[in-house]
Amino acid sequence: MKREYARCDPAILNRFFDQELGQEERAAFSQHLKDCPSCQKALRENEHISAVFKAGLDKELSQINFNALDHKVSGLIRRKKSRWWMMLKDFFASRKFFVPATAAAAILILTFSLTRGPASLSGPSAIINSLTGDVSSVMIIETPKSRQTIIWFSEIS
Amino acid sequence: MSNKERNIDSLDEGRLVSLLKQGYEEAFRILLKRYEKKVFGIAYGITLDREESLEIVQEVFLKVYQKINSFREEAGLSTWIHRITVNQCLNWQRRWKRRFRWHHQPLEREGAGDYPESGTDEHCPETLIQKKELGKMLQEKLRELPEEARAVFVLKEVEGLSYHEISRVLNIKKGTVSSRLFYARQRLKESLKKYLDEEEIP
Amino acid sequence: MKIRKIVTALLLVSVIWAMEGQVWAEQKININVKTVLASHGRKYSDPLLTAFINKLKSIFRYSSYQLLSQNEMRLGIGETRTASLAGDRTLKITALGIGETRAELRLVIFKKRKRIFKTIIHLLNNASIIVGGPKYKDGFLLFNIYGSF
Repeated sequence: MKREYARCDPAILNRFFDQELGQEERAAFSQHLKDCPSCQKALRENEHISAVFKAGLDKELSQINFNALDHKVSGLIRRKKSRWWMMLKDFFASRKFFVPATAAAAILILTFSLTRGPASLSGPSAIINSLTGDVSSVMIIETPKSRQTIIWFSEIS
Repeated sequence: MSNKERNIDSLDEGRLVSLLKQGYEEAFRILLKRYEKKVFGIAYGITLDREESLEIVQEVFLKVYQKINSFREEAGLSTWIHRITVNQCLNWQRRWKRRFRWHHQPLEREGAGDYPESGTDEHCPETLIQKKELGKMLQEKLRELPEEARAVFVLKEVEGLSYHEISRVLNIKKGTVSSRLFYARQRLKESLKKYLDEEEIP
Repeated sequence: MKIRKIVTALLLVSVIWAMEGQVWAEQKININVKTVLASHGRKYSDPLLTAFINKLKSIFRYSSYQLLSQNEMRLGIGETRTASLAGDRTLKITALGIGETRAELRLVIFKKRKRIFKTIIHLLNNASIIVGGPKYKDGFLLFNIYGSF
């Protein structure tokens, strides 16, 4: 039996709770646990926190309409697929203009590549270069989807 | 795809991955059914926000669909999906440090993290427990945990993953998993001590 | 023959297009500044805000949005214009430069002639920056600064 595990040690208790101790280590700590009210209490607290967390999560899960979510996800995938497919179909539908269109496109591409620099991504609506102020706090935020830049500050009253 | 394979439970992971790579829609539906609750659970545990968790679920499965052909099977499909989920959650957190649609109240409430004053009926632990506030308090304290510790706690509690499995998902050492989980539980226990102690009274 | 005509026309178009980068006339930027009062309490969407209200509602969680003022200005590089905001505040905008996709602007907000806030930004064409936070009456002021060039 591994005697060094038969003692009050929150880290060992944690690993015991998570079933991460080896067989001998587990046996040693279990023996200690029988006679240690504070370790027993600590273990109960771990169980309690776990139970409360899972209950909260189960409650949340019960309120989700997963069928509707399935439809949303499937729709997203289908749209991704069809976008490519439609582009491909249109491309081949215009075959009768294929040759002159390619020639014109090649000329345009060549012209642009000689006269323009690399295209840049659009990025956020505004890039902040510098900011100073007689203010008590400032937040700079970019919204995730529309990438709208917002500066929010509090004046010193 | 045979009728037997359409049975969500009978399909083993290797066969499911193979069918997904071949583009079978039915396989993708099976994948959804098998993982969506787990993915939501992890997302909700980390973000504690239902709306964002639903968005993250969609993003995760879209990513799986887009990247399935580059998935290397030695990692395990569950590990891969867990990893995508956690990364989506942590990216969401980083992009959007605090959920932006705020009411413009001070970000830190006065006395946030302090226990309610004892002695006042409205705030005494017994009353709060009666109102099942412990669950809400736990959520609040979870929110205060650093995201790395929260991710480990959630993967353990939601999925019951071992330290080794969590270390593979998060690409950290097993010792780090152990210490982060320990830290998360200690923090939660310290913050909720009064309520946990009250619960102990027979 | 027909194909040759199409290709020649396209060549001409592409040459003119490629020369677009050259400055034949001085570039100017059109700026629109909206001052909005956002508050909690009663539910109100100012009809003068129209499409802009959806954008505000998607970002903020106030129940009332009221347009207090709107300013339009046209700036050449190096020029400064002033817009009156609410609550004894003014906004000075200087166009520092206009590039292909972004314009460099200096924004300075004064309150009762005291400078309280200054920022230099690179604003995307046909996009806006929202600057907000000052308390006013029962709510907060948002300044939506929109630029196009």
